[in-house]
Amino acid sequence: MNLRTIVRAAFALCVAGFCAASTAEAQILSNISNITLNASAAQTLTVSVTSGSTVNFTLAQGAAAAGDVSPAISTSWNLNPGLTGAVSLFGYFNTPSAALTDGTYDIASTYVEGRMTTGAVATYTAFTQTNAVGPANGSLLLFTEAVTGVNKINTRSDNLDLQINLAASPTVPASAYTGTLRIQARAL
Amino acid sequence: MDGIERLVRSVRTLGLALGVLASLFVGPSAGAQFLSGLTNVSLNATTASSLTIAIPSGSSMNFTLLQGVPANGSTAAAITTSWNLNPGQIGTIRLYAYFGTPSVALAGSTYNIASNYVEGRMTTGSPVTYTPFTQTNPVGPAGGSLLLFSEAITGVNKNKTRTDNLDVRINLTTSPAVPAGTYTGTLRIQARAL
Repeated sequence: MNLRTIVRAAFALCVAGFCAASTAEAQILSNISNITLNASAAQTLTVSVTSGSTVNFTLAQGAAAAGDVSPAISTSWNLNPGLTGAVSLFGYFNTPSAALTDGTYDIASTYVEGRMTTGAVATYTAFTQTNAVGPANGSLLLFTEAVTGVNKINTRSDNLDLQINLAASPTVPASAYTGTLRIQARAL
Repeated sequence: MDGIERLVRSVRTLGLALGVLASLFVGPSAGAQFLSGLTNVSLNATTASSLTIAIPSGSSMNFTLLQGVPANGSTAAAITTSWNLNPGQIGTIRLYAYFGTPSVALAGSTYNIASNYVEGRMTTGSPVTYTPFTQTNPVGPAGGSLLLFSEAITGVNKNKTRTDNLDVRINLTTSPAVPAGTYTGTLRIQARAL
């Protein structure tokens, strides 16, 4: 590399440096202003019967009649574990003495039994509990799940098996009976 | 020859004497006026270029988040940009908004909302439809900003003030479930002239 080459390189570098400096000098930045963003996500708790929302029974006096299908109940929540300790799911009849009726004769909730093997009732149990949801002596606790940081956002699906157990009931008149079992979740 | 030289010398002496006398007579008549030579004083004044922004309204926005849908801010931010620039030195002014940490645009106690779920729109500027704060610009961190407007500087608008509304929303359409709670963040606004 001779002297001329060195001089040319130095000149090129100087020109480049000058140009860069000029560009930087031309930039003008304003002050910075702030916008504060406040967002809130509310707690949510929902239930839905994804399948089996209609259950048929063929009653037999002195025996238990299982439903033709088990309702699948999906329970979803987005909860703050600092505010909520547990989620519980309940099934209940509005009027326990008339869980099903044909308009003349009523089948009480005493003879309607439920089972949720993935929940709190491993064996068939009558809807005769008194709980925070539903009327006295007309409900059944189906599951309880503690809410922690791990499951504060969760969806679970459970099957509810139902039967009408007339093993100990008076004779039920031949007829068609209908009723509505209500499902509700509670977070506390 | 000596006579001639003496004559010449006498004439010179006489001329000098007459000159002195003339100056003595002329001087007092113009008397009060003495003009010096000229000396100049240079006056140099500079007006510095200026570029400022302000948020006269909407500097705090509230959002009610809903999973799976966009949540609009409770108000739009009015942003006033004022400048006094030399068009010979400045070609364009641009306004940007950005988050200091794009992955934590809004922070909660256990969960953060990233800037890709926060969208802005300036119908009088460049993003006329909601666009996430995921651009990389000269102002703000990579992947965390949004260009709001760009205006070329000419002789006509070299000294100007403009006000634009910035709409902001949080779009959880494609986000993971956001835990119930409260979230706060700061959106920074800055202009750049170049």
